[in-house]
Amino acid sequence: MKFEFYNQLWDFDDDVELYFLHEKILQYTYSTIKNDSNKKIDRFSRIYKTDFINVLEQRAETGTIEFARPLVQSYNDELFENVSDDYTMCWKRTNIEHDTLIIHLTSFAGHEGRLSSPLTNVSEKIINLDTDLLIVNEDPFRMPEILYPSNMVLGVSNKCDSIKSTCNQIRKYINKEYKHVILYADSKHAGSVVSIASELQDLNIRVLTTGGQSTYNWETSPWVKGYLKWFNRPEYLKHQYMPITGVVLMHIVKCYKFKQMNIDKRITDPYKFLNDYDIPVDFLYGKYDIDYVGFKNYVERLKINNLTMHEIDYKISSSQTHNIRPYVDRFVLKDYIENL
Amino acid sequence: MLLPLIDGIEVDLNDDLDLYFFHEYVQWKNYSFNRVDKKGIREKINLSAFQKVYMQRANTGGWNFAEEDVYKFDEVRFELPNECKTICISKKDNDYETLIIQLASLSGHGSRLTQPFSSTSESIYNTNADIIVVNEDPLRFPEFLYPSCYILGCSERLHSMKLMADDVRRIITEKGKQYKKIVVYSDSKHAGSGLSFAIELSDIVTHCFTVHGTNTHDFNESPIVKDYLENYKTGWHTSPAQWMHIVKCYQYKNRFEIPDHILNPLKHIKNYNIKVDYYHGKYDDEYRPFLKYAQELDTGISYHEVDYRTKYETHNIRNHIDRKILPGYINEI
Repeated sequence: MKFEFYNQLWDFDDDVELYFLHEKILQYTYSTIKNDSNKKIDRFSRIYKTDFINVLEQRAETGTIEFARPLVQSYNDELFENVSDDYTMCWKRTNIEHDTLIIHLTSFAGHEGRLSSPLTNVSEKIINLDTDLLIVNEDPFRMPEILYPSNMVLGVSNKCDSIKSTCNQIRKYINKEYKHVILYADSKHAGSVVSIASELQDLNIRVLTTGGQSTYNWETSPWVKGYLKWFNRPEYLKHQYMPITGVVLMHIVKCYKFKQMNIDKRITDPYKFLNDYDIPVDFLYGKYDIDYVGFKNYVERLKINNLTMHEIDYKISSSQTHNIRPYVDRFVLKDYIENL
Repeated sequence: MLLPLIDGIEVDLNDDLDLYFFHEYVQWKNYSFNRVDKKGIREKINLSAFQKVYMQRANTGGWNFAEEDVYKFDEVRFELPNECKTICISKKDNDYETLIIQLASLSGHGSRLTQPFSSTSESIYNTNADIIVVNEDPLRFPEFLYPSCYILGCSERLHSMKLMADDVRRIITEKGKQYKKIVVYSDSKHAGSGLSFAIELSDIVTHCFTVHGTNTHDFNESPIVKDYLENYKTGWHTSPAQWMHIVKCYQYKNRFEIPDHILNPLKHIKNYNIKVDYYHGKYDDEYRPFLKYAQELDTGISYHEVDYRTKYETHNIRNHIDRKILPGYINEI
């Protein structure tokens, strides 16, 4: 099936075309960065741009992303231990008997994050909490890039290639009974964190997530629906242009692929089934996050018993309204843990 | 330097990432065009090989998967490979007086990332001559610069024509042979590089057998570059190979100090005692500007028009040349 992006039709059933579409997304991102180089931007966006360019330059120079492996597969061994064979999970070193465990789904955005961060690149605010901590990352070297990272819908590595096998590996780390087990995730993992919670429901689990992609289902995703409405617009509206970001485009492609792969709806559309489980979910969304508002509205409309929505009055800058993690890590998480 | 290249996309020729993405775009155009218009059997094979290597690239995140195929050589028919696995010499029982140094010309990703570095045609191998195959390492990067048509040598270690020439001399010495005739055989994108290499080896090379193609890499002289610079404002268009020629010529001029006899050998070849026979296809319109450029210079080259084409291909006349012309040429020189 062919879809229109960047004024061209792309065959979603042709993996070579999808490879080039992914390159086109990167090229478009790069040209946007270049065009905006004189604009005043926030610190996070500045770091993002520098890292993005560094990573892509190294890839062009070496013909591969393998240059990133030594860094990506490193970890802070003073703070962490017990790294899994597939370099996706590790455990915080501690001598204290905590009664709470945080399972943290790390969410490195884009190439610049996932190919320039060690496995244990986690905020100190999380590490310093009085809890045990298990970091769960998706292997950034899974390919093709048009499909991976899969937002954990296809697991976290070639070894743990499903939510179920990922959860089996998570279970191996848990050697005692905790009073509280919190799955903490954000943005692109807002949906998969619920799938993982469903699989681990017997652990007395609860979910804290910031707003983001709450469904990866071709039929229910608000981004897919919005795009298809535009794509199938009547002839008299053909002149209309739909601006689309790389993140949205990748979401659309992945939803298409997940559908093609017949991934269980409980994985691609987990909030729809949340009422079947006794899992409390706290969903924190940014007041100014217009880009992802469709996902927030979607879960709200599902009337889920255990779902609590929290509006967060925070934005990094006028151009970065989605990422509320710095605020949540600093001002919400600690209280949340202490008041369980 | 900011230039609108293919489809009006502005490319900063001094920005490596712009050039990286431009190269990807050219490949994409190539693929989407060929996928729709599959043409003949050779084009279908090329398309299939292209799809195969790009699928592997997509599935592995790089080109390293190709190492196994491209860094091997036919050990039955060749020997003495160099350290960087780009040069080897034929194993033949006869004591030939002639040596062919062939600049291998594996076109496109589908070919250069699937072929061993000793890859050469049966017709060439079966001539009455020893053969040295020189291949450019297909895993040099960035791709907007490499393969460099040997302008930047054939590998990271042999990164100039001079170093390449030294290695060829070493191989001949180690083989213990004294050849009466040494012919540099090159074609298409290596038409000019074959002449440059002959100049670099002018102490031993006696002949050049050149099949028409890109015969200059000089940004100021290339007819394609000139035509582009004069006409790009009016929607000038060309093939993916020529787009990359423009990009590479700019890089050779601005990033490196490359001797003029390497970039533009046609201007120097007459100063050397090398007999050049230059074969060009009668129907090869795409590369005609290069032919015109060469013929207008005082080079001392002998030109031969070849009345050959396939149904879909007018430029590539190598099949015909290898089979029908080269064996006789080698016997007669």
